[in-house]
Formats: sequence, structure tokens, C-alpha cells
Amino acid sequence: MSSTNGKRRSRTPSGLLVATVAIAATQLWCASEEAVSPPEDGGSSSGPDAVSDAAAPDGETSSPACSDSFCRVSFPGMEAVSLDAVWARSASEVWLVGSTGFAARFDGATWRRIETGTKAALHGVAGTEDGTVWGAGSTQELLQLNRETGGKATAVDAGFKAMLDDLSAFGSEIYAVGTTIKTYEYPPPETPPMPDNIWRYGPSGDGGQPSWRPVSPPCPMGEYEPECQKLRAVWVESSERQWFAGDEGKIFRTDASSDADAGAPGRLRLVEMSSSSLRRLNGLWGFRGDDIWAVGDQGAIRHWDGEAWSVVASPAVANLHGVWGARSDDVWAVGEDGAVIHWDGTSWTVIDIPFSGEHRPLLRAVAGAGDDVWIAGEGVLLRSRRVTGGDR
Amino acid sequence: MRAAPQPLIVSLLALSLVSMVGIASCSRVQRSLGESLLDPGVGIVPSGDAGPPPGPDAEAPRELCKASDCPAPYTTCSSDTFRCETNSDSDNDNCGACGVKCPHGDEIRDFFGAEWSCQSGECRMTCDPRSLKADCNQNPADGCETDLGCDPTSCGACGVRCPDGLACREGNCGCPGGLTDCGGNTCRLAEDCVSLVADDNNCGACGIACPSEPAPPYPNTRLGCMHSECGQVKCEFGFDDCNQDIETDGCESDVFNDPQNCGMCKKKCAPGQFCLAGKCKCAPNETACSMGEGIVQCADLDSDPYNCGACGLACPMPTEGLGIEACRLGHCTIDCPSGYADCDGRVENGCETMVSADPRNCGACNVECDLAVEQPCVNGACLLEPCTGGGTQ
Repeated sequence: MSSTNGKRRSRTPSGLLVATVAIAATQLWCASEEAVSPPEDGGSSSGPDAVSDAAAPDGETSSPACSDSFCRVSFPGMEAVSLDAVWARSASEVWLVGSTGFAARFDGATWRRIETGTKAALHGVAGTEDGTVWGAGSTQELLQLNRETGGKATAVDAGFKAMLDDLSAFGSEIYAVGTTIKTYEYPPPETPPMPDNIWRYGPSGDGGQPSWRPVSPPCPMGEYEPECQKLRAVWVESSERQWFAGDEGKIFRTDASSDADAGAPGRLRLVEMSSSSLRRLNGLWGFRGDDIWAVGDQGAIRHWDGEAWSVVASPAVANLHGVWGARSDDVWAVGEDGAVIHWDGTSWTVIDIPFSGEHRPLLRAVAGAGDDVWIAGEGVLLRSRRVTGGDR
Repeated sequence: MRAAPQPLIVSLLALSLVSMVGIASCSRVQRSLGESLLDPGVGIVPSGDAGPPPGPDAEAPRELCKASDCPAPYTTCSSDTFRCETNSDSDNDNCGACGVKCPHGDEIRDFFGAEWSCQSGECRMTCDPRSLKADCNQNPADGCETDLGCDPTSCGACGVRCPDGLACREGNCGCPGGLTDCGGNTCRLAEDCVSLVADDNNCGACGIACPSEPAPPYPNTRLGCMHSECGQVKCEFGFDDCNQDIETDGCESDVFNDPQNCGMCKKKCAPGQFCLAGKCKCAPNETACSMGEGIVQCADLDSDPYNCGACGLACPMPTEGLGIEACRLGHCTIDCPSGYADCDGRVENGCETMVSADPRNCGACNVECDLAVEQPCVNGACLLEPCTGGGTQ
């Protein structure tokens, strides 16, 4: 199961954003056979109600449409949007969400926009084994993207107010990390709601209907009120074990040992792990329980081999926001200033993208199916050129 | 009448005036920076290199060498952390030379209606754009002394004299058509220019106030001045008689909140909008956020730092240092002033890194100049100069 990682840091100058948007806008109307698939894929068609996706023709802008590894994909409405998360069930089912309520689905040939009915940001997307695909921003915008109600994605009332920054699914469960949204009431309630930073969707322990509920351990007391560790990424290894990463290099995993304290009812027990980093960790992805990657600010890369987190030499100095892999020796990480790096089982290397100089965009997420890799960022969507066509 | 200037202000002003005369003659040296420096922004070092990233000059043209001496107008003042940190052409605290301060800040601005900023190595005065003050006598010693909003001899602009009998109101001579100047002294249109037709305090003529009378038996009405006569039934502020049947239901329309009569009768708000204080809200790019207690606020969830990505999600603010919280495309961030960046990713300490001068973060975070040869970071770029033989390329 893959995980996506929509993150919140951004330090790209606004000028860069404008330039990026301008570049993207110029690509918008450049329909080509590359519109749907990378050049090697032979191309295909777009339906009449489909959003068009097109790569730029060479020579029309300061950046080419394709690099050796990736081609740009554009369609209306994405230029001024931060595409924050991408998730793929297969090469023919890819989902994309972002700011301003943006959501879209790729069916293997065409991207189609999903009407969400919100202008709120959607930071995470993931699907469960029953076929449901969740897009999440705040819990006021907790959406089942492939379930329609009244012409829009179905909104689900989670029963709590929070901003969910990342989702990860395993089987019928979804875990989310984020921040409780404070509400101000007058007079203030006698027992104010406690903040949380982890939530779970799934069947309850007694076999009841699946629901969303907070599962984070009680947050420690701050100066005036309980304050939760800021978590930015989650990866679910199994029903028994989940991994979390966030600010100050913090990495946690659930404590599934039988001799652990029982903890609070219905709440996870977390074990903090040494990441050898004080830098914010923004992305988390694993292939197995002994092969997990974490990436973060200033190019930080850490790897878990089943015994310990180790520092891995990074070719990037920019902040990394997302990580995903198809295999243990085929892992991608993306970040600011157009940073795209690849792990081949031996080392991380820089991968060129079709943007140059000050036009290099802030990239927030990477995911895919096998060799069909999608990278999303501020006003930009990239697709790998080495598509094999098969799901992995 | 002005209060006596504070000693600090006087001394600052005196110092600035000295600087204007004394520093203005400083010669300027053409900078040899800029066009040949490479973009440091890609943030990626060559593959397999676990060491520090190269500086922006790693691929510099061969005819340029690393330099170490500060090029004019850059210099190193005693308060500086980095070499060549100060741009004496534009630094308000070191204008033209180290220690020469241009008077600026709220206190100066409030007193003089002006402040001084360093331009081309000289302290130059500019009038506060938030006021209608101007320097009509061309004497910087008294700042921007003329109130163009009130002065009948300089009304709206220096030297514009109002005709006899007309006062200057917010930069205009006299009141707009239909309104009468009843001789107030605020110089503000809203307070000094009244409608003798409907003003309860100036009904029919200046100074004729309508007596207080019991309210009539119609909802949201009172007795007051209408058609220049007192004792007329009129609507309470914020209400209107949109159905023209005051004796049945009084002033039935709450034009402050009614989306069918928003601000005035029959002005309908677009679908999805609501009426707040007589104006249709929200704009198409905004979301109506419920703030509790029935209060609704319009917010652009893409850019509102108090509703960033979702209603009610406030971005954390720096508790020290430079920078302010901001929201960009639904993500919280920090807006840094020019020359600074948040390199450590910690919101609390704001934009802690001076990327304009820090040779370890030159122009951008983690972009290092050649520290071994003490190559300074000048204006966000590692300093280069034309090779003269023996330089480090």
C-alpha cells in the first residue's frame, strides 16, 4: 500500500510561484499526443467532459515539456492550485487533491475533475480496500471522493474539528495526522475539548460501523494547555503497527508489545525513536517493516532497517516533502526548488525535471504504480516517462 | 499645537541633517556583482556528494574570481555579524557611513508627519502616505508641516487656495453637492458636511436640532428630521421601509443583514452570499466561516493566515525575530522581510537567517560561499570580481 504525503512547509518566493503558474498556464492549451500518457506510451484520447492534460511543446517556454525522466502534465484549474497529495491504487486509478478544494481522478487515459463543493485545502488522499477513496483537509471537508451525493463528493461528519495533513491506508483502516482546530466559544466550556494529532477511520473494536475517531495518546501539558507534537506524515505498516513523523525530527511507532502499559482506552501507545535529526520530517513511506524511509527539511533522509534509523547521504539540500517507492530499490523523494531524487538500492541521485532556474516548483507529493510515477506540487504535475503500463 | 520635540528626536534629526550634507559627497564605486553570478536556488548538490553544497559560483565564468574585499557601497560596521553586511546606500542605521541614522519610526512619523530613509547614501525625507501631510515650505527641518486635508491655503495640494467662505474638507474646498458646511472643525466630510433635509441636529438650517420625542407605534421607526422638518416618521438606522407601507409594518427591512435588501431596498445578494453590515459577502473566492456566537467571517482559505486551508485554522506566529505568519495556497508559512529566510524551519524564531550577508546561507538556505578564502556574501550572492591574476577561480 502506498502512502502520500501532503505537507505544509513552503518557502518558495512568491515570484517563483507566479513564474511557475505562468509557465503552467502556457502549457495549458498545448494539447498534444503526450496529453494523456508519456511519449513512450503512445498517447490516447480525452473525453468531451474531461479535463485536458497536455505537455508543453519544446521551445515555447524557457523550460522543455519533458526531461529525460518526467513530462509535465497540465489541465485547466491546476495552475493556481497547490497539488498536495497524490495516491494510486493502480496505473488506471490515480487520485490527486490540493488547495481550493481541488480533486481529480486519472483513469489511465484522462484526468477528470471531482466536484468537492469546498474551497478548503485537501492535504491528503488514500483509499481503503472496499474501494472508497478519502480526500481530507479539515474534518469539515472529509470527503469520499468516489461516492457522490448531490453531484459532489460525499462529505462525512467526523464529529471533531481538525486539519488532517496526511493520510495512509491499510486494508479497511485509514490513519491521519494533523492538528485540532481550536474553537472559541463564549462562555468557554467548562471542559474544553482536548487536542489530538492522530485519528483513525475503521471498524470499531466491537465490530460496529466504521467511523473516524481520535486515537492519539493524551498530549502533554504545555504552558497553558495541552499541546500535541506536530506530526506531518504517517505510514501504516499493518493493523498493529503505524509510523508517524513530524517536527524536530520526531519519529514514533505504535507500541504493539504485549507487555506495554495499557495506555488510555481506545488510544495508541507510541514509542519515540531516535532519528538522529532535529530537522522537521515531512514524508514517510515504507516497503516493509524493516525498510522505511523518512525525508524532511534541508534534504534530510533517514532509513529504518528494522533495527535502527540511520542517516543516509542526501544529494538534496532543499526541504523534502514527500517520499514513495514502487520497490525497495526504486524510491522517490520530492521537495522544494523542484528537488526530485531517486534511490536505486545503493544511493540517492538527482533526477532532472523539465523546469529550470527560478521556475523550479515546490513539489509536495509523489506516488504511482510501478514505473508510472506521478509528482505533484504547486501548479505542477509531472509523470514519469518510463511507464511500463503494468500495475505493480 | 505641537508638543516640544523629544530630545531623542531632535538629536536624531540633527544627525540626519548632518549626514545629508556630510555624506552626500561620498563617491560611489560601480559594483562588479550580479549578472555573472549563478542562480543558487536549485537546492541540489551533485549526486553522490555527501559534503557541503557548492556555492553559487561553482560554475562561474572563468574570468571571475572569488573576492574578499567589500565592494562599495557595502561595508562592515561594528554591529554587523557578517562581513560586508551593511549596504550604506540604503541602511537607515548606517546611511552613507556606519552609525549615521536616518530618523524613522512611529514616533518620528507621528511628530513630523514624515520620516527619513536612506537613499543613495543620503537620508531623504518622505511624507507619511497614510496622512494628507505635505512639505509645502520645502524645509525638511519642520517635516511635512502642511495638512492638505484642512489648510484652506493648501487644500488637496500645496498652494491650492479655497475661495473665500469655503473651508477645506478632506482636501476639497467646501462640501459635496446637497450637503451644507455647518462650520465644524474636524475637516472631515462625514462630520462637517450635513444634509439639512434629514440631519436631526441640523434640520432645515445649521444648528436647528429636533427635539426628542416618543417613538411612533411602528416597528423600527422614530420621529426626526425629514424634508427639513422635525417630527417626521423615519426609519431607525439600519432599517428601511422597502414595501412602502410604514403604517402597517414600519421599517420592516433590516438592510444591514437582509440578503434580499442588502444596504438598500431590492439590492439582492448573489446565491451563496450573505449580507453583513449592508454589504453582500463573501467574494467568489471566499468561504463563509462560522466563528461561533452567530458571527460569520469571509475568508480566502488559500491566503488567510487565520483560516488557512480550513475555517478556524490559524497559522502559528513567530514569537521572536523577524517575519510574520502567512498562508499560501492553504499551507502555513512565514513571510520573511527581504534579505532574511527561515532556514531552520522553526516558526518560533521566525526568519532567523540573514541570507543577504550570511556566507553559509548566501542568497538561500545552505548555499555556502568559499569560507576558506573568506569570500563574503554580498546582497545575497557570493562575491566575485574580475580575475587580476592569482585569484581563486
